[in-house]
Amino acid sequence: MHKLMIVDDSNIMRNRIERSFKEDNIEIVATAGDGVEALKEFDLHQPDLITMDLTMPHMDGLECIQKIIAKETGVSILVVSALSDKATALKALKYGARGFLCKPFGEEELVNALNKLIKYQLKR
Amino acid sequence: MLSFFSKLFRFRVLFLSLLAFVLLISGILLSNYIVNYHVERNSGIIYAAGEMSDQFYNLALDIQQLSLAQPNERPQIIEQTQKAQAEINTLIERLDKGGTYEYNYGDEGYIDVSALDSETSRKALSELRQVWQIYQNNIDSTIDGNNYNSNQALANYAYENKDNIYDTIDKIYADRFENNQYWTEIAKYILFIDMIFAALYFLWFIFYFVRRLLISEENLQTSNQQIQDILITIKEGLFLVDKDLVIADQYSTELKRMLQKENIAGKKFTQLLEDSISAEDLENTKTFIDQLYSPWVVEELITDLNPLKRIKVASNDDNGMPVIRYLDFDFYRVVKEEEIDRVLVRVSDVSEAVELERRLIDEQQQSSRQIEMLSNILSLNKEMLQTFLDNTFIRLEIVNNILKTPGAKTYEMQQKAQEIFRQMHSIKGEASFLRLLPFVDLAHETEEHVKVLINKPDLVGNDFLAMAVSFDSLYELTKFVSQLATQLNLYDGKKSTLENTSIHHLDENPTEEEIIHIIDSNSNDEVNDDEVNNDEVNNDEVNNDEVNNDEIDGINEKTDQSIEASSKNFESTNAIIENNQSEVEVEALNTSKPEIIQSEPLQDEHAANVSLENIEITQLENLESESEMCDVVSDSKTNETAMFVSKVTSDSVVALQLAQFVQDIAKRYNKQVQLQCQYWEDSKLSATLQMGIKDICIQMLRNSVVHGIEPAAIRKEMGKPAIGSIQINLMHDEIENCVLFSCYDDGQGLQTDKIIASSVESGVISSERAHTLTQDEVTQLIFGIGVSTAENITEDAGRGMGMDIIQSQVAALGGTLNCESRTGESTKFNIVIPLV
Repeated sequence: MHKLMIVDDSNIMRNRIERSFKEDNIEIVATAGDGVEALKEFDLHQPDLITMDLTMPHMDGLECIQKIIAKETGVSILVVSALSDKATALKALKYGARGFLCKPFGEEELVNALNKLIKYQLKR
Repeated sequence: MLSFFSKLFRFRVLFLSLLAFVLLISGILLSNYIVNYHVERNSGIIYAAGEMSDQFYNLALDIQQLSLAQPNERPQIIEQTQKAQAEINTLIERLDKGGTYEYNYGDEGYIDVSALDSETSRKALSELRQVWQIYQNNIDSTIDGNNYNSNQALANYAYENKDNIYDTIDKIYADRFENNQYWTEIAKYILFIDMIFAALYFLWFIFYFVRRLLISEENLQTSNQQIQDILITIKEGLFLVDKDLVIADQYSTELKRMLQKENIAGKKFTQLLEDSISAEDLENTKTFIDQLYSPWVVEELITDLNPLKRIKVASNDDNGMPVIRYLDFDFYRVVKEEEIDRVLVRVSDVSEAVELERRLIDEQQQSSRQIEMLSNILSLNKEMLQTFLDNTFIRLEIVNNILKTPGAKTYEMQQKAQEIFRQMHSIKGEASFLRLLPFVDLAHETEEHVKVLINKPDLVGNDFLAMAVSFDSLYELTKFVSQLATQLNLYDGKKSTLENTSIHHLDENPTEEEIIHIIDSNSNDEVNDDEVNNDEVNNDEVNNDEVNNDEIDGINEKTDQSIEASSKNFESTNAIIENNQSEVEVEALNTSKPEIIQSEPLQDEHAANVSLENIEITQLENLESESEMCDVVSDSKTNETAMFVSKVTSDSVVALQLAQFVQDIAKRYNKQVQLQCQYWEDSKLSATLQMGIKDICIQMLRNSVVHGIEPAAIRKEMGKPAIGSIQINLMHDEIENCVLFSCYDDGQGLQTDKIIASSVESGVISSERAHTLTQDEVTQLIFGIGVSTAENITEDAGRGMGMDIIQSQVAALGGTLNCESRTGESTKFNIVIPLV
């Protein structure tokens, strides 16, 4: 069972994912609305999958990714952002994120992306 | 296991050749060994035989010495004799049975002696034994311990048998030597055969492997050629980049054409794109490819981040003409042994797709505009549409004539270009007034082309071709709409052909039938009008006209004009009523609007006119305020802040359309404007004049909304009412026989500074002159060509031609124009056109 944390400053977004998410192999263990909260939740629940928004209050996605990757838990981070911000998304990959999902996305797209992360994680 | 054997099988030739090689070597070694074995054996025997021969010699010498020696010397010699005897015995023993023989004279050492095996040798040995037996017996009988019995017999025997002994030993020698030679000979043959084998093997080896090498080289070349064929033929850019973004040697030929670059191999990928994309995209591209090399990143999840989509590059088409191409770059990891080895880049030309997309959007826009136009046409008043189409045909015709003979001199042509511009501007104005957007688009496009021509210093006739396409489309559109309108019974057909250059207007003296026809059609038109009351009046009037033919016969010229004008709007019908002063009409009016008539009884012609207008104004005010309310309500639902209001108090259809027009522009500029029109007395005017005034009015209103009226927020700041007010009036002064047109707005007035700056910029006045201008002179400047205070060129403003058109129109109608402006408060234009 994979543990997923959703980081997004829009609670509408978080709720929508949480409500519609029904996967056998993935369980949502935590949600966070900003980077600081995300770090706290990360330490508490130790997820192995994270969907990360980039623009957030207090601590933005880039900084949060850096801090989480520095913990070296091997967590797979999926950046979730609008296409207009390609440069920042690329930076996020540089910092250790593993993929990108363009906002807005459907539930199926999200599940596909997460499964790809899991598949290649196992392969390694 | 099976695969192991199959692998072995693949290399069978190599194994067989190795086996042959090993056999060859071991054959050589074995034969050498055998030869050596025999030669060594024989050497031992030959050595032993030689040694024996020496001992025999020594023995014979000792025996000789013994016979001559003094008695005291004898024991030593006897000892030597015994020693030699022992040696000979040992040697015979060794030769017979084989074994190690130790020698101790000279060098000390030992040698292996093999037992003799050949018959000849053994025979010789047994002969030697026999001779030696007798020899030894003789010695034993002569020498007994240390006693020497001088006996010549021994010496004689030794002497006599000397040769015999040596011969026997020589026989062994010869036999062994022969044996040696035999083996050496065999060794020679074996070596010879080996050499031949080695040579054959070598030749085969060379042949086989060179052949193999040649075949594989040929295969390599073939596959190389195939790759080349693919790379040359494929219509996509294909190449590999390494981690440092350096492009590999093999790439498709199409790539060169796409990027218009040569010698691509070895260059940096980013170097190729430097001129085509921004520095930021270049940086993003580097990061993107870096990420592709990172195995941690999932390739399929970053395709959206590819920064190289729809890249615009300057290129050449097949004929070498410069074109803009759109390229998509796609990146794929090349994985070798689970490592990301390279990145394959595929470049595809998506220009056609981009073009198609653009065209689709264009067509969608166009068709939606066309549908809007069609629905507008359906809602249009027949008169308006007819006038518009007629006027447009005339204008297109004027332009067409100009295009036929654009003149020879540059100055002349520039004047003509300006004339075309004016015509297009008028079409645009009128079309946008009627909201016939496709006309606006095409006229605008044509205008754009002509605009370039006006400012072109070395203008030639051919330059006019640039506008031909859009002009032609405009003509086609006009034709199409007129056909459509005819089918919909909204248009009675083109009244002037392109061959007829005169400005269209109605016959001055229509025949009776024509008048009846016109009135008929007019009354039919009016059936659908809102004002049912007036329709009744109309119908009554028409009936009256039809019945009282005598009366019509007697209508004076003035009345003729009235009737003629009545085809334009029903207001003029009232004029006929007035002029005829018929009982029937008054009664009809009484029944339709009793209370008004009562309060303002008809006293004279003029009063009747005014009172009638007032009635209609009141009605229209009610009507308008209702629709106004609706407008406000519907707007407030969607946008609370924006409120667009137009108020028209004249009954004229033209005035209503003008109100709509103002509302449209105001909406575009997010302004709130109220249009008031108290009088619109165009009923008795000729069609030419009506058209001219409408043109002027459209330009004036546009100027007022765009340049005059400020946005609501600014107006509030300045303490003005949020809703701007524009008042237009058209009065027909029949006593002075002239038309007065005025347009007033309570906007910001003329912007002196901007006008001066714009005039200096467009070269109308010098910058020195700019400082000494009087207020009147500044006002005059706005009529100069190329002066505009609008910051952006839009459909409505910014050409700097509006005021020029107004002035030339006024001049064409023989009128005068003046402007009163108070900065920050208001602008008012007054136009007086005398009627001839």
